[in-house]
Amino acid sequence: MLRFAGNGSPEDSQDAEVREDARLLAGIADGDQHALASLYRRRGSLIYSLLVRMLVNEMEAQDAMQDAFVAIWRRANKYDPCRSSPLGWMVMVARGLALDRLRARSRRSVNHAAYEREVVSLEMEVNGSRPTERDELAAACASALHDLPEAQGHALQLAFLRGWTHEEIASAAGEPLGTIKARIRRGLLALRKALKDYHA
Amino acid sequence: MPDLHLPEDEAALYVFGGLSAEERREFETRLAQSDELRSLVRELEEGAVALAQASPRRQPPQQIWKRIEKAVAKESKATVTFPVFWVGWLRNGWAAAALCLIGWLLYAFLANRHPTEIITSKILQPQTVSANSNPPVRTQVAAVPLRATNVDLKLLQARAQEIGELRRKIALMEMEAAQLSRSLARQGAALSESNRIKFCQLIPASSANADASAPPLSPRLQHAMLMAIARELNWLPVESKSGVQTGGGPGQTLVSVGGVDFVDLPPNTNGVAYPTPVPQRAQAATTESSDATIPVFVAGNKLVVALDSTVVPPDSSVAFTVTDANQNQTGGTVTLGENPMVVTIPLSDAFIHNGLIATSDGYLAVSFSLTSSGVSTTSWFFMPTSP
Repeated sequence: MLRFAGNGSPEDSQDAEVREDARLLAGIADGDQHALASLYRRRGSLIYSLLVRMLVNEMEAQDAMQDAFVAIWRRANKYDPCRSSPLGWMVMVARGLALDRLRARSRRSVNHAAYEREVVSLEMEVNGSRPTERDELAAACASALHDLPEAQGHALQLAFLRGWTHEEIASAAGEPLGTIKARIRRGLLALRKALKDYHA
Repeated sequence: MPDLHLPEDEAALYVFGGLSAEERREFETRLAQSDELRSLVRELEEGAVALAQASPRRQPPQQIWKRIEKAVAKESKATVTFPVFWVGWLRNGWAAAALCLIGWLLYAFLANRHPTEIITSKILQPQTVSANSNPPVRTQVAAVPLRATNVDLKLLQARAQEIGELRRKIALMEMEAAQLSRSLARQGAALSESNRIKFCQLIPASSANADASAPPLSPRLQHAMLMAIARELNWLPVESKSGVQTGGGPGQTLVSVGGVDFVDLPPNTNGVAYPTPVPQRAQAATTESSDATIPVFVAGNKLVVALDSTVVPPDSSVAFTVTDANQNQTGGTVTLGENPMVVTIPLSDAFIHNGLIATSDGYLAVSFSLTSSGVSTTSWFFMPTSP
């Protein structure tokens, strides 16, 4: 079969991104501080944006950002590419540290009023915040999140950004636990599809 | 009653860190055994990344990086106990092999040495004053494994560390291989799209197996090729108005546009009229004389060939035979004038497979029979063998 030169597809560039992240994490695991600096340049904005959204406090987000990258430095040798993508792993490291800070703030009350407050707060953060830069990917993902059924979007964000357990969401929203679990799972898969569609 | 999770709900809880330590361990055991579960976890995690991406984008203030840099430098100072060279060396596979060797040599040395040592020490003890007293064999046997175990333990720890490191590197490489494989599959699929234009150069039979790079195309041939692409993409004006209809062979259309002659051979022209057997490359090399290369592209089920006087002498009658290795033939006859010429040859389905020209040994041949001063010579050009 004859082969002809082809053009690089968007999926190729996405794979190249994953490979580059993995290469940098491997460098960090070997103690290469330049690799950490490169990773910070590539992913710092995303991690910081997530931390600001989770903590709703710039100063605390800055502290958490420092903690997150120091944690990435320390734990890079434990990163297992069989389990997660490099970016997924970094996001989860940062999210875990932000959740620790949220838990340390105060004991959370889980009732319908708290649920309503959090939902309003989550919506205000998106609608009221002024992003410092335009990012098409962020806009596409935000649009996909906005397109989810309202209850699904709320459950997903409360679980991911506020660390509410499925049981807490079910209890506060007055919905069966199975419904909440299914909403969260389907919501994640819908967002994943939107991300894939964006890259395609 | 405990809450029973569905595997997919459990996967979502795992991604969100909602499982207890025990549940997590159990889940990870299953994760290691199930490709399906790993794939689901990956998908859910990609969804979580998309959720993170949905955050309004902000740039971290510059001082944060300085703080991180300082913290990391401090940690590095505190933790570095070996020079960097040795750290790197210890992390590669040679170190593991060397450690194993040293460990086993040490073990062998100690294992051979212990009985003597123990016997000596026992002789020096009060109960061994009697020359006839036997050394307590049980003690001797017990002591050897005790020392050997310490050595083994250290060795095992070192090996476990190295194996973990190697596994991580292997997993990284596997991930890269999987991504490259997906990328290749996508490129293959993209190439088979019929609306893609695929380019290559036909090379003379004499250099068909050589690694030498193809000579550059003449400027006129480059111009002809660009015009052919423009025509294929319908960028040229409507030919009946701006082109000059200058004739052509039976059933052929010949149009001149921008100093280039375009000839469209009709479908199946002389489809079976070329009894010329396709020579093998080695045989063909003995009959052809040109060293030029011919640019071609395949668009849908058409083969488009560009010629000029650097390939074929002007006023020569050029008989095309497009033949694949299955002896499928098509072609026609054209006469090259002063202008460069672009010939479009329709190919039957037999030539096209998955959007590419399929040949059993990976090449397609085009011959030019030139008649000049009553002497007919044939030049063979081939598509390069695919790697």
